[in-house]
Amino acid sequence: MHTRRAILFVLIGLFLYLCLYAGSEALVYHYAERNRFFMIRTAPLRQYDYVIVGASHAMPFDFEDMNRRLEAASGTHLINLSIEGGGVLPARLVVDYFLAAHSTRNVLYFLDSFAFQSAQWNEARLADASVFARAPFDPALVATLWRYPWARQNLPDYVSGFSKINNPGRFAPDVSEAEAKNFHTVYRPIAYLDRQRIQYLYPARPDPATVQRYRDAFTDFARFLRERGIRLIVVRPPIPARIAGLIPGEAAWGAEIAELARGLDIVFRDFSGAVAKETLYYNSDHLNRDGVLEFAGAQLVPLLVQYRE
Amino acid sequence: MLFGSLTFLGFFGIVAALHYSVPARWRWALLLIVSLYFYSTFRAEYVLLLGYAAAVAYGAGWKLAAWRGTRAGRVLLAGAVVAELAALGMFKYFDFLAGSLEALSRPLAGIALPRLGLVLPVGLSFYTFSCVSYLMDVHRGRIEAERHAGRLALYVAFFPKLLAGPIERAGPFLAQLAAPARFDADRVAAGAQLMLWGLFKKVVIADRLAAFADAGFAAPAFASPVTLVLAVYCYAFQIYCDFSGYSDIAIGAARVLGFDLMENFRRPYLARSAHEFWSRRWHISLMAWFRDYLYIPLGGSRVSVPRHYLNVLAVFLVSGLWHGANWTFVVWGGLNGLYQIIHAVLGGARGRLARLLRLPAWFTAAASVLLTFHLVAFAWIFFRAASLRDAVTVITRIYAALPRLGVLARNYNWTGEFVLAVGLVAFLIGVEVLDERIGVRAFLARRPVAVQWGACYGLLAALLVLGVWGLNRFVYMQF
Repeated sequence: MHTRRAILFVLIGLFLYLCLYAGSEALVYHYAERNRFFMIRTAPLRQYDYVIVGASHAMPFDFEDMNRRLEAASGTHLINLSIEGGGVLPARLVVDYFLAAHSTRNVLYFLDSFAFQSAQWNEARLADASVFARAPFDPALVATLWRYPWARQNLPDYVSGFSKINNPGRFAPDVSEAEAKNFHTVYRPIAYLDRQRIQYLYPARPDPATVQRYRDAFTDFARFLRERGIRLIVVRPPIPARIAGLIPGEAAWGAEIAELARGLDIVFRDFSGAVAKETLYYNSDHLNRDGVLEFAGAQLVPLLVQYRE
Repeated sequence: MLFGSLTFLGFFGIVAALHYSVPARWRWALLLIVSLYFYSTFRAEYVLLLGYAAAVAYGAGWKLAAWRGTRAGRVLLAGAVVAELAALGMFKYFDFLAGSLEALSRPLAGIALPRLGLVLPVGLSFYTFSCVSYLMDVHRGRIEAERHAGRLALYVAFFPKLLAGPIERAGPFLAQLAAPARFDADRVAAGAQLMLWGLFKKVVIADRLAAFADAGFAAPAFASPVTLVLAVYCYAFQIYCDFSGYSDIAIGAARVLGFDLMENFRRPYLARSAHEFWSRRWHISLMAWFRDYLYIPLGGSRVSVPRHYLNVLAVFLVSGLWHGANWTFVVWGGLNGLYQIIHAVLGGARGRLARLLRLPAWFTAAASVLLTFHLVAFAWIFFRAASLRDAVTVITRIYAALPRLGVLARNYNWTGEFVLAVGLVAFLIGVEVLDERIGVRAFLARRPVAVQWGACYGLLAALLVLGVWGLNRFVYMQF
């Protein structure tokens, strides 16, 4: 009698859980908007010209109507899969997942030096359940997460939908705070905030072994794309000279990445000094709307056109 | 591995299944092993400290029983209690005493004392008190010394109560160990329901309120007066839901495993006086410990009136110091002691005043509950503040803003999250009032199964949808 009641209790509980899961999944489809996994899951099945990856410096090119404008100006199909705080490993994971159901001619990688310097922007991001909290359920993503050891620990959470059900921002559009509040603003430099930003991005002095690990991961990523016939284009995103001067070893890193790109036969463009005016940034190092439009017109669109075919 | 984590729930499920799978005579061994494993997940070296506390209790317990009523027995008891408290003193109070002595000597010559810089092992205050109560009870002849070292070790280390109590007495616990309970589905279900309710209080209410309390107490000098008022109210409910939630999970987990632990909370914010709050409703196991092993030995109330008040004050000051090596806790304890003395001094004056003013009974009851709550909440300010200066800042800034608090509140940025928190606290109060009047279990037992199950599913859904799972800390674990 007790056993039967217990089984019935569990079965009803499972049914109710599935209802919660379905409701949360529906909310994801309603509000996820810019969530990269949602974008991949719902992207039209067609040949893309460019997949844009990188960290937050690549995100403004997808804010508001920027992606559509870039597509119109360059005559290309673009999808921006950049992830906040995403280093080499997260970039590889989203491209890997994207290629499970889609194809592209090029991957345009906005590469920052911090991506090579800390596990915080690599393994830790893959291990962060919140990164996948609004990813719609997709067996292809399950398979992708399984292939990445650090992301694998999120599989129980992702498959059970726990973070999705528990998401406190379930009724808010998944749009970054920068897009919602700051994109139209102009930054007034404050030395303290600049230093704080640099400390955040570069939390520890990188040891050579760590840098080498992410160089190897990057090299592996380049080979992975080449094997699939996809061209990798690496660009250094624009950054004010004042900020670049605060980043330890930034100039040397620029030369190193150029050397690495040459060795791997990768297209490389250094746009780090392309937008000098501070009024074109919404904070210490992110382009605002005017900055994106100016940079796109002068540098990005010509690049996209050049490698369109 | 904390109670509010999914890891613990998985661990507990496995332990419960194993517990009823092994023969009854070996269950103590299984529980001891898993308890030591549980404790080692915090820091493996802590297990040695636990072993030390249990070894002192076991070794001294034997002799105390043999030397009961003799001078040698009293000397041994004093030695064993000092040995138990020595670890607590070293880890918890050494640096505090050194700092206080340095501060006291500063106006004179000034001395520099060394610091140990030790991290307080989790649960040390609780299991030390368990060991001391065992020794005292053996000495007084209330219980016999436990001959089975493993069972005594389990009494000290039993994982549901290890981190933050209840501070269970040895007598009832060891008796349950001697006669292991058979699997009882109703009992297991009741334990699981209590765990569920405890988790709800902890993860859904306490951890949600923590953000509002932290916003005020983190930097009181910079917080707005409304933020500070909210912080004080939110903290009062946060600490209740946090600690009583922990206790419910502990008692529920023990019940699933076939053990009854003592009640630790009895709807404290429905108390009609500070005396009732402390004597019958809040952290019952600790206050009973202080009553039996400190207050009564000091003479209790069977002494002159001034000495009685002094005893009360001493108990509350020690209780404050037990919570933490900081002057904020001493002031908190002193304040609560003062409430007790004022309550005793006023005696029946409150009742006479109510009769004189012909106030209806429901009104005096509600006013008493509200007044008691505010007195307790006021004392919590000292408990929560990082320093006495911070506590005074909170009080003075709220006091200074009282005349314009209404205007400030109207212009305050009220969030949906706060409205949700208020709704949850209202729900909690509703449940507590119902429990006080007729008992929630009795109320639900009279309802159809669908309603009973619906209540469980509702709590589970709230845990999933509204739970704040990231925090994973218990306020009382730091003591």
